[in-house]
Amino acid sequence: MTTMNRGARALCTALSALLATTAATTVAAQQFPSEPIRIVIGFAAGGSTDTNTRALAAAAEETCGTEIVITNQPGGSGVIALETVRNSDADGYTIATTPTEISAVSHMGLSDITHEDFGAVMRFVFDPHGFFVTPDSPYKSLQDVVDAAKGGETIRVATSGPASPYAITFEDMARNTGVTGQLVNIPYQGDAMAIPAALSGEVDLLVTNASNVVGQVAEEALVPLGVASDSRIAILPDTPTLEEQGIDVTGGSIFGLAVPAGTPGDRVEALNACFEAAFRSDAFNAYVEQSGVNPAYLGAADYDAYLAAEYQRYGELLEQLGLAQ
Amino acid sequence: MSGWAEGFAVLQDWSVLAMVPIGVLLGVSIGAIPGLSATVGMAMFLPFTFTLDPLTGLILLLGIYNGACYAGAIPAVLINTPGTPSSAATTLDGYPMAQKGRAGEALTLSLLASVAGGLIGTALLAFFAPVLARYALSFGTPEYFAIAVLALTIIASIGGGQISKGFVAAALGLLIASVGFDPVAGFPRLSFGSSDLSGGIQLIPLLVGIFGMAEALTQLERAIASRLDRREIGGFGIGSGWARRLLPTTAGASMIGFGTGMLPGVGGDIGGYIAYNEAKRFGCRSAKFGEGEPRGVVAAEAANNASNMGSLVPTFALGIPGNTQAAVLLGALLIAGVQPGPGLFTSAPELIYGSFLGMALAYVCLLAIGLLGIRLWIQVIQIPSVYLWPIVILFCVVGAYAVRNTTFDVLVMMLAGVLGYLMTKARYPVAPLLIAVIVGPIAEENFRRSMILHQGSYEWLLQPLTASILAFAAASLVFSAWRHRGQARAERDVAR
Repeated sequence: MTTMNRGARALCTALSALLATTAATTVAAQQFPSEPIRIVIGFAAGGSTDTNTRALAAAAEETCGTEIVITNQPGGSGVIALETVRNSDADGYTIATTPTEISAVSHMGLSDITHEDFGAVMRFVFDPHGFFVTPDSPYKSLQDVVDAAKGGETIRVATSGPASPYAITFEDMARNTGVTGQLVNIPYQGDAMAIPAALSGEVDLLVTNASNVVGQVAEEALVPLGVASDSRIAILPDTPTLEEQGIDVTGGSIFGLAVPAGTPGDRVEALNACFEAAFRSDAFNAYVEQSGVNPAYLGAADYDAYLAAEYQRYGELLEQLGLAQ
Repeated sequence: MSGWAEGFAVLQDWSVLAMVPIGVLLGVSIGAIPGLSATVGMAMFLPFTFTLDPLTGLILLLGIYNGACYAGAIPAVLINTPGTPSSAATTLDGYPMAQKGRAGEALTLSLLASVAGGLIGTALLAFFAPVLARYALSFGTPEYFAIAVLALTIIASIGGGQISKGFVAAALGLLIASVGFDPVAGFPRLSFGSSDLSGGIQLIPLLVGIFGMAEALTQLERAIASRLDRREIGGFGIGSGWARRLLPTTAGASMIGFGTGMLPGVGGDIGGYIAYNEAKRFGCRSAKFGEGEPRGVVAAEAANNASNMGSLVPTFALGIPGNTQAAVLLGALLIAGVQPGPGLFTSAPELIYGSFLGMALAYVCLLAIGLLGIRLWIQVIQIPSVYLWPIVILFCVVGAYAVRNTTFDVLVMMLAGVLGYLMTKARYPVAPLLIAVIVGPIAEENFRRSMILHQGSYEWLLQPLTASILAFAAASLVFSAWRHRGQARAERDVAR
């Protein structure tokens, strides 16, 4: 009996030891994140999405307490990267940057991807689109542009692509003021080509993110006529919004983070918490101040709702512009 | 001159100076591996520069930039695979030199030409950037189209044997380039419903496949058939006579490279090909371009390094990135609280002149690292063929995957490898295909945009600058056809 007891006790000890180990492993697994996080960016290195995200990720390595690996998968207006993340495990370790185009591509028949394939983590930057001219331009305000267009003049507008967010904002503005057809979209391959075209006078008007041309504005090579945001922005305090000029249009480039749909809620919360801490860190604030981007935080639930509203808005807009499929 | 003095003063800090060799070494490692680009390398180190003082960070990034541009030539010479797209033209004569047992000489030449081109480019940038930037702005959409047409005419002279085969290869290149988003109307072309295809064929996987993979297949076939082994390295010296004879080529190619680099969106790959073509045009009759002609290597490498510096003209002077690497540099400048633009030269002289001096130093440092390093890198071709080429294939796969971490790019690389192998077998030149892939989209997009800008009228073709470049392109075409006939006749006479 005693031998038996001893044997049973030994077994018990072994079992409980085993249980303890398992429990410890479970606790470790709940310690999220415990592995490196991967962020997939849908645009090339050096662009604004890339720079903004890398600045945030550098701060988040501290606040999330894990390594963050960044991959650039440019192509198809960010769709290729979104597909990669959509097809990844919904474990919170793979994050996509959400391009503005996420609200547009499915309406245009370019991809079946929508915001519903993802769970929002947060939005961190909203860079409003601005309208710019050269100092010797006859247009001193957007009203001048609209008046000239109504007078029958053709106004050439540089954007970074035929169906880019810039183009959608200016088409929205043209429709809103009733001058569609007089404002002609001249698509360039990105800002690096569009900005020189505006400087040299090849086009009459430039639409781009305000932060892209801070330098040119500071040196008076370009003059801002309006920004498409709800309120004036820090880097262009003297430039009126479109709304102030009687044009009810807002539009901008949105920079946010999202994980595949179906990611456990506690993990989304954990990611939101540590990325928000990164957003509020001194390092990221210093970046914001120096780069001129417009910080605009939205939490997970708010950003989800925002993306749903944007999806709706783009759908209606593209329909009216004849760009929807 | 006070700007120079200020730049010199800030450079005397050892922590700034230490970044020169660190950056160059990082750049050389990144550039020598096909698939890893300077852009990604610089973007990786960008957040790190946030913690450094502005000049220190800038010097690190510029070191990577310069180092990677040179190092692309190493695999181009040794295994016919350009490490970066800029070195595509270097394969034309660099690899034939290596095959003829002159690899050491080819590596020395590419190093010296890179350093010379880089230093000439740095000097032009430092002294003329603001003036040149204004000149670059006069290149509008119609002029871009004309430049692209000029670059396309190279196909006729670079094709080697038969001009017709060059045109077939170029047509194939144009077809490949048209896959993806239409640049003007914005709908996907030749995508067959696949989002991977609608994203377009990426240049680097194509490049790695059509050069590296294809060459590996060709060499493996040869090695298995004949047990052909080890190639000779040859000496590293280039002879005192050559240095003098190569001087005009270096200077000319540097100017061409710098000029093309100044145009945003036109990079060292195009600059390298244009300079190569001009070197060939002006080369003496005895020069055998395409068969291991030292002038070809020198022209390509001097041009792409000078082009790299040219790309910094709009970056520093206008705040517009001349290429993707310059976009990262611009990010670093902005984050350092510096507004690039004409005012930069007076508002932050220590930074701007410090970085010019830093770039010159980086090239001196590159010369030292290169002269020591080539003896090491060249060992690659001492590896017996049956081991070397499978390793190259492995690197091609890894390199293609590294670009975007997608298996689609690996597939593109492999198909490009098979295509390149078949083309080589059938004696079709691959350079025209590549030129068409790079230049075709620029020609198309700018032609269509010119038509929109001029509301459907062709009058823009007659603008003075556009018309002159187009006339030059036509003359170049006629000249190469005439020269080609002359050569063919000469060969017939010899045969007789």
